[in-house]
Order: sequence, then C-alpha cells, then structure tokens
Amino acid sequence: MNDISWSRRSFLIANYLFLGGLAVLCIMPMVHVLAISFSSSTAAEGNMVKLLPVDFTLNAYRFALTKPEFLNSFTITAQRMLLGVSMNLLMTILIAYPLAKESHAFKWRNFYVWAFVLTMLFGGGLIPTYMIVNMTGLIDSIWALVLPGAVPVFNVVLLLNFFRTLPKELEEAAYIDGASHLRTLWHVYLPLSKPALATITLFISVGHWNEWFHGILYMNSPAHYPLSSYLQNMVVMPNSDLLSSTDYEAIAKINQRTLKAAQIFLAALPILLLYPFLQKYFVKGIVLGSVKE
Amino acid sequence: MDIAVEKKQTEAVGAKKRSRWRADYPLHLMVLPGLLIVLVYHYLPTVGIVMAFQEYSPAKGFFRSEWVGWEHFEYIFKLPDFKSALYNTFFIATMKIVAGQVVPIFIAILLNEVGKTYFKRTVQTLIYLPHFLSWVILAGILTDILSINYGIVNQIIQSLGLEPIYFLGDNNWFPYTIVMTDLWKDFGWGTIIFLAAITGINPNLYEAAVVDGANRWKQTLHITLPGMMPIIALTATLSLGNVLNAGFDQIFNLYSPMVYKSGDIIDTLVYRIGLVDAQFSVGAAVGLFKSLVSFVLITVSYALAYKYLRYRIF
Amino acid sequence: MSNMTIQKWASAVLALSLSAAVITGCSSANVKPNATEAPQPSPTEAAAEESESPAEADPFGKYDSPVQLKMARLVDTTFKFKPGESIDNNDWNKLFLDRLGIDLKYAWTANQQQYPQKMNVTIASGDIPDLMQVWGPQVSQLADADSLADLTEAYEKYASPRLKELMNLDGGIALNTAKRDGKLYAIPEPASTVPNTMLFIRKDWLDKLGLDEPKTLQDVFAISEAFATQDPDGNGKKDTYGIGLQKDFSKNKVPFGIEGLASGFHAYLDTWIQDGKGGLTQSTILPEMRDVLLQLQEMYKGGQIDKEFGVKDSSKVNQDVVAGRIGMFYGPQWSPALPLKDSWANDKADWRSYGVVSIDDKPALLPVKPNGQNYFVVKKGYPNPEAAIKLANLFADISLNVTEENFNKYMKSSIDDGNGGKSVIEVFKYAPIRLQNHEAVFENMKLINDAVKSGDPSQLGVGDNLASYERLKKWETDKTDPNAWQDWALLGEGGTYSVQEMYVRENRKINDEYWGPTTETMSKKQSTLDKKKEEVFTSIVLGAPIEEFDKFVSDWKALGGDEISKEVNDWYATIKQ
Repeated sequence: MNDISWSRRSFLIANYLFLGGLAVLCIMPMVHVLAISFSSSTAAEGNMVKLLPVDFTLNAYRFALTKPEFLNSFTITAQRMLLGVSMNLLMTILIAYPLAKESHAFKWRNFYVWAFVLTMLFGGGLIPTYMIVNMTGLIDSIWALVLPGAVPVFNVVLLLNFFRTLPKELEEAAYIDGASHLRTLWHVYLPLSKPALATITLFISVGHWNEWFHGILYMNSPAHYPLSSYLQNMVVMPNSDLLSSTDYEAIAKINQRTLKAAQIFLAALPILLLYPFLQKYFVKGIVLGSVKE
Repeated sequence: MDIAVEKKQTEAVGAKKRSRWRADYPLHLMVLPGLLIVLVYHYLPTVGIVMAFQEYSPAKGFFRSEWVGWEHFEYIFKLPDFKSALYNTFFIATMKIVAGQVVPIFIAILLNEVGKTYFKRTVQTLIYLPHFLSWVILAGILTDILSINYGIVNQIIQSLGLEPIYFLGDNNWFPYTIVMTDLWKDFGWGTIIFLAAITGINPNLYEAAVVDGANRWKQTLHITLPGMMPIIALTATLSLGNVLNAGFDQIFNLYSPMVYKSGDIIDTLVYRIGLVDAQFSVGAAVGLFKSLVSFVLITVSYALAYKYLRYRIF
Repeated sequence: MSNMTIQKWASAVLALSLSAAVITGCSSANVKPNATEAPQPSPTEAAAEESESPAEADPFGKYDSPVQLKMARLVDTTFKFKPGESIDNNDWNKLFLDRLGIDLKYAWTANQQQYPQKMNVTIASGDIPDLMQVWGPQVSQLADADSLADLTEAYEKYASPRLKELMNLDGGIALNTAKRDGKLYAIPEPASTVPNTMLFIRKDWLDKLGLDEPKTLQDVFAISEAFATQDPDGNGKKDTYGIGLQKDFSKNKVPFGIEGLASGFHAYLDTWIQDGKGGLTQSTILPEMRDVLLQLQEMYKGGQIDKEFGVKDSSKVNQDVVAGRIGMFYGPQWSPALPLKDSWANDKADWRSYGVVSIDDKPALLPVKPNGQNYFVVKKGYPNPEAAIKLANLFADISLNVTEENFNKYMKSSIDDGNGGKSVIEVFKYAPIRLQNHEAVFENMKLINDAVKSGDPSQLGVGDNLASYERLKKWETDKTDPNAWQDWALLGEGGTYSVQEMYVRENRKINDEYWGPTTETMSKKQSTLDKKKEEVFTSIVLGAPIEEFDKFVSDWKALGGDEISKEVNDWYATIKQ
C-alpha cells in the first residue's frame, strides 16, 4: 500500500466519491417510490412524500399481496421466465457458435449473420406478426410469449463477439483432439464465457420480465396476463379526460398512487435481485488458467 | 486440356465440397432451428411492409386494400411540422447515442479501478435501478425535481446565485433535459455490457504491462480500452440504428405545447396523427423510412470497418 | 366523430362503461309507483303476451336450443367478481342462457388502453367473433369491407319498446351514426348529453376573505385575484393560485381546462356551432376565443395561474389541489372523487360546486356532443343477429324493474371483503349492452335529498337510491370520513349532481352540430391544426401578443381549416334535408 503514489491515491478517493455520488443519485427515484408505497394515500396525493414515508402504513402491500390477480400473474411470469429464458439462451448459444467462426472456416456465416441482423432493422409490424402468431395457433398460450421472440439477435451478436475473443489455440487444441463442434462448444467455449453468459442471461431475463405488450396483445383474458402486463393494466394512468363519466368509485381508483407504488416495487424486486446474484460470474482470470494448462 | 485431368479436377472439387459439407453440416444444423423461427415470425410478417403503399384497412387486409404508391411518404414529408420533427429527432437521438456510449464506457473503466469488491458490486447494482422505472413514473418525479418553484435542482442553482432554469418548459433547454434524464435512467444499464467486456480481457496482458513498467493509466489506455474495442465497435454500430429513435415514451411523458418546437419528434408527430384517425399506413410508411435509414447507417459502418480495418463487427 | 381518436375513444368507452355505474343504479330502482315511464312488461309477461300472436317477433323470446354467441368486449380493472365467478361465468351470463337461450362467451377481453389495438389485429386476422364492441370509425371500416350483419330488420322487429325509447332520448342521433346508406350496422349506446363541466371553489377561502359565491364571470375574476393575492390559506406566504390550469388546457374535455371559462365568453373549444346563416362554423377560431385568451393572459400576468402550468399534467395539478395551493378550477362532475376527497382529507378544504357563469346577461352554455359512445356490431353471416338486440332488451328491462332480489343479483352485490367489511360488486357491468336514461338520475337525487331531510326513506324503494340515502345519512352523523364527504359533495344538496340537474332544467347546453364521420381533410390535417392551436394558445397565455391569435386564425384556415369547414358544411346540408 505504501508504494501507491500520491496522484493515484487522490484519484482513488475522487473515484470512490464520484461513484458513490452517482449511486445515490440513481437510488433516489426507487427510494421515492418505496416511500410512497409506505405512505398514506392522502400524503401521496398531496405530493408530500419525498424520500421518507409519511403516515407510515402497510395498507398498500396488504392490498397488493391479497389480490388474487397479482399472485396469479406472478405464476405466469415464472412460467414465462422458465421457458423463455432457457429457450433464448439455447438459441443464442447454438447460433453464436457457428457464426463466431471466420468466414473462411464457415463460408455461410456472413449470410446467416445478416439474415439475423436484418430482423433487428426491418419488421412487418403489429398486424402481420399477430396474424402469423394466430395462424400458428399460439394465441392465448404461453408459447406466444416465448416462440416468436425465441432468437434474441442482439444477444447472439454479442455472444459471437465474446466467442471471437477467446484464444484460437483452444479451439485448435480441441479440434486436434477430435472433439466435435458440440463438444468444443460445451467443454471449451461455454466454461470460458461465464461473464458473457451471465450478461446475456441478465439481458434476456430482464427483457422477459419487463415485456408487457405481447402479454396483452396475445392473451385473450387478463387472467392470462404475465406480471408486467398486469401492472401495465393497473399502473398506467387511464386518460383523465373522462369528462362525461359518473362512476366516481372507479374514478377514485384511477389514482391510488400508494398501491401502484407498492406493486411497482414488488414486481421489480425479484429481477433486481438477479443482478447481484449474477455478478459473481463477472470474475477475471479464467482464461489465464485454461491457457496455462 | 486432357479430359481425364479435367474430370479428375471436377472430382477433386466435388470431393472438397463434400468434405467441406461433412465438416460444416453440424454448424448449419445449429443455426437451423433459430433460422426457421426467424423465417416464420420475422420474415413472413415483413410482407406487411406493403401497408406503407396501401390505404390499409384491417377489415380489407393486405390483398384487398387499395394501392396508393408513395402517397403516404409524400404526405408525411410535406407535413408542415415534419422538417422540425426530423431535425429534433436527429438532434436528440444523436446526442443520446454519443452520451449513451461514452458515459457507460467511462463509468465501466472507473468501476474497474475500484479495488473493493463489495463497493463495486453495490454501485453496479444501484446505478442500474432507474432502468426499472417506467417513464410515466419518472416523469412525475422529474417534474418535481426540475420545478422552478420548489425543485431541488433549481434550489441548488439559485443557491449558487444563478437564475433558475425552466428545464421542461424552455425550448433552449428541453432537448438537453431529455438527453440528461435519459442518461440518468440508463447509463447504469449500459455499463453492464462494458464491464463484461473488461472481464473478458486476458489478464496476461496486464501482467506483461506491469513488467514493462506501465502505470495504471497507461494500462487503461493500451490494454483495457483496446480490449473493449470489439464490444464498443459493436454497440456503437448497432446504436447508429437508433438515429431516428429519440425515445417516444420519454418525450411523450415529458413534453408539452410549450416545447413542441424543440421536443416534437417523428414518433410523437405520428402518434398525434393517429389520434385523429388510426392511420396504419402512415405509421408503416414512417416505420419503413426509419428502417431504411438505420439499415444504411449500419451497413455503411460495417463495410467501412471491414474495408479499412479488416474487421467484421459482427 | 371528428375527434373520436383512439385515446379519446378509449376514454369514452371507459366513460360509458363507468357512467352506467351510477346512473343505471339510480334509474334502476322503481322510484315510485307512478313513475313517469310506464313500467314495461317483464320478460315472462312479455313472452306470454307475445305468444298469443305468434307471427310477431318476440323481443324476449327464448331459443329452443341455446345459440352460441362469442363476443369481444372491453373489460377493465374496475370489473370485480365474486369468488369463483368470472366474465365468462356470472349471473348475467346465466340469465341470458335461462331467459333467452343465449350462451354468451367471450372470445377475448382487454382494457381501454389496449382494446383498440387488439381489435385491429383481430379484424385484420379475419377471425372475428360474432359480437364485438367497436368504435365509430371501425363501424365504417367493417361495413365497407362487408363484414357486418345488417341489423335494420332485427332492430325494428326485436327491439323492445323500452330499448327504442332509450335509444331515442338523444333524438336518435346516436342511432343515425350507426347507419350507413340507411342500413343499421351497429347497436349504439347513446352518450349522455348532460353538460359535465362545472366550477369548483373552496368555500372556506371565500369565507375567510369575505367573498360571495360567484354570480357572474366578473365575480370569478375577482375571486381568482383575491385567492392569488390575499393569502387565503393564511400562512403569510404568497403560495396560492387563483385558478388551476394544466398543460393540455386547450384540449376539449379535460380537468383544469378552459371549457367552463370559455363558455362564459360564449366560446366553445373544438365545437361546430350554427353560424346563424344556415351553416356551421368552428367556434375555436371565433373572436370570443380571443377574449378568453386575453383574459387568461391577464390572469397569468397577475400571478393567478401557476407559472409552471405549462408543464403540469392533470395528475400534477391534482397534487397542487390536495396540497392547498389552488382554490378554484373548472372540472368535471366527478371531481369530488378525484382529487377533492383527498383535499378534504388533507386540510378539511370545503370545496363547493357551482354552475358555470357568464360575462354578460346571456347564460353560459356548455358544449355537448350527441353521439354513440359504444357500438356493438354483429359478424356478417351470424345466424341470429337479433340475439344481440335481445341482450340489450333484457338489460333495459331488468334495470328498469328492479326488485330487491334482482338488484342484489344483477345490479350491485354486497359481499364480505374478507376484512370484516362489505364491498360492492358492480354486477351490472357484466351485461354487455347497456342503454340507460342519463337524466333519470336527477329526479332520484331530488327524492333522496327529500328523504334525507324528512328522515323517511320509504319512498325510495330498493337499490341505489336507498344506498345513496344511507350514505348521505352517514355524512349527517359522521363528518370525519372522506368517503362520506365525497358522497355528500356528489349527491347531497348543492352537490355536483344538483348542478347538472340545473343544467338540464335550464337547458344550459349547446350541441356540437357535427356528428358525421372523420372527413378526409380532418384525417390529414387535423393533427397539424390541433398542434398549432395548442402552441399558440399556450404562448398567448404566457404573454405572447394577442395578435398571435389573429395569425392563428388565418393559419388555421390556410392549413386545412377552410377545407374541413367546407366538408362539414356539405355534410350538414345533407343532414338538414
């Protein structure tokens, strides 16, 4: 520690302060939402809640957690995550491996890469896609949320870039050993790509967790909505220009800031916990060990 | 040429092809399932692009709707508000693209300098929190924070003896407010990918550098940054595709008639057209226009990278 | 339908599905034996009568073997169900099956935000359900594509007298909007034509400053100035505003808008009115609107309007109201539910509602748009198109002849909420096509308030009237419950319903005379015109020279307004014949 220079030390201090400050800046909105969820409705409507709850109460959580729809949609999201994330991961890995080859080693790779990349740029839009999903009989089934988006092209491209940074000697060694492609992928590529795989798993999971539009579009009844769609149904403010309405009970429900805040937080919590969990795979030094072998 | 030789050559080529096929077919097989899915769920619906050239009505479908050629494109391009919307979109999106690349790279490098693992992980986790709040929620919060009456930001500005700034209501400030708040929401999320890239750098390189007497700054400049380069090139290229996406959700929730001049973008323009009368074809025409622009930008940068650096971005 | 937009349509749909809530409930109770409307025969009686003349179609006839009816409709989060029930399985569906032999099932449901999109993809996929809830433009689209059953005959033959009566309360305009070339392609639910905008003022602030309730618009200006400058909340700080305004104030039909203020100047936002020469003219560009803007500009300059109103949406202004910064605003009839209940809960703000007032001796009129808020269409080729009419008949019948049992089963059920309290399930919402008499509520309000005064509820019958009576009674005894305050502010004497009742009594409405389809120029140019309007109006309030308005008028005309006027007048000429 003694050999750290003065400039290095002052840099480190500044760095800690700067990053710490950023973290505080970023945590504020979530703290605000959390504070609202624990506040009384009147305090929330009067915009009196800042970063600490006002008139602390657990009512919003009690209400949110006893709503059968809320719990039901949790189950559906769990199913979707199980199917969707594993499907996405499988596709990403299977496609990224061949496309990570140089074009002299796999002549078709350029064709395939562009075939996939183009889907990121061009699309037919809502109506034709719905028609195909309908024709293939997926409407109102969990597969409608999994199959059409089974190939996450951005992640494929990302992973193939990570694969390409792996030392070539490894693959050659495996090839000389007579290993098949699948064996090479499984025993050489994947163990060395843990940080990349963790990143991609995170992207895919968050994607499925947050995606709400397909849930509403492809499901025929709110009882089949995943959590994100259910929340969208609840949280987005209905237009307030309901001037001619007279159902004041329903109108009063439009706001319910505290309930919405509680639901936003409850819904975000599981996915927020995923990142710290995956961080343990962001470790350096794996490649080093393998090459020295 | 001797026939026998020619035949032999053909055979050789054939054999080469066959052996090539034998070596490659597992690779084709690996791509196949994904390719089929993409064919069915992406390429088949692309037929829908014809909507842009039709007076599309859902009840009539793609085959019975009337063809109108370029009419919708002309309509959009000739709208009195289109030029300023295009400019605003381009201006805001370009700033977002640059800031959205530079800042996360910078933060990732700073995080990499942090020795204490728990601090590093905590900061990583906290800075990505705003990504999980929707713009509806954040807009409500931002209106408070940026208020000229009682917002904390303007209180700080005034305590420094400066005039308060009407971030959301002043055309000179609005685009920058949009860029800054977008950055605030998503820089932490953007950092993840670059942290992963840094993790993938071969530690041998650093060891060698230390032996050569390079200090941390030199290591960052000569090892970390070049090591991140493939991923930076990739994300930069792909983000070029967003040059006409200024962020509908964000702007829709934050803009007002006061800042239409600087904040009205193509997407909000199209949205307001749809409010009067759901016009599928206009939406499709704008979508196609945006896709083409993205396509050209991405293709050109891909080609340039290959031509001058012999590097394939993807 | 000029402004029938996806969003607005959605909210209109919500509005109607909501407005059914109270009004049906209120009109539902058999108020008194000699009710103005002759009681309709109940389905069974009707069936018995009809069977005597078998050639006649029976509005309540039961199919021998149940007919399947698959429907797409809007179901939002305000729909609550009893344990074990669902939109597919409830007392209304059972009733339809038992009484009419109609097996109603839902192909899909969605909320108001997603419904239009889901409907579009459903229509595009070509696989449409038998019965669908759609919005105006889609009736045209579907009719043009020859996808709809012609309901003209089914309606003539099967609509019950009660249904026809409800359909014609608005003069038959809604029904007309559902016709194409004289053929009826949809069953509309006519919108309410009772004006909904009123003035809300904090009475406690008025009293504190020694001000009277407003009789004229000049009074309103004086109140606004006093609220902004004389520290009505008594905290010694200049932190109150005269009048609440939001960033979208120049749009029609928004809370914290200027519709009510403009009506005092005889100006009407986005409304086609008669020009006195046999044609129609757009009120937004008339000189009266210039005066409105000039007035607002002055109020803004005087600090009576929040200098940040230009970036605040209605939910932000709601917060200012609850926080006690705003003492007066123009808002919808339901404002006591949102945000005033919380304002009362926060600092016992004594909000009162008043009718809009005028700048001169001509009464202030509020614009209303006779229209269909929901349309129900039947797929072409569906063998029993009259089944849809029968569903509507049955609801109209049940909601008119309510017994205590019926009320609990088919209108509003009270069930244990699991926490020892009761919660009300709005069962009537399960019925898909619900027409009602939007004005019946006012007569009931009078009865209820009389009963509250006399303490004798015996004339109220069952159902909502009795429930409202009990809620008002609760306010009399317990003045601490915000919900009781809300009921009182809505239903009580001087409440928002009584303001509306006054509007009806004094005929304080002016019709938007254009109810035709979106014209070609509207669909191409309206959004540009609207944007211009919003920008210019906002900038004038913020202090731009009033000449900007004159420039706006000429721009408006040049950018498509003149063409739209021509189209509207051409249409009007065909209607007048």
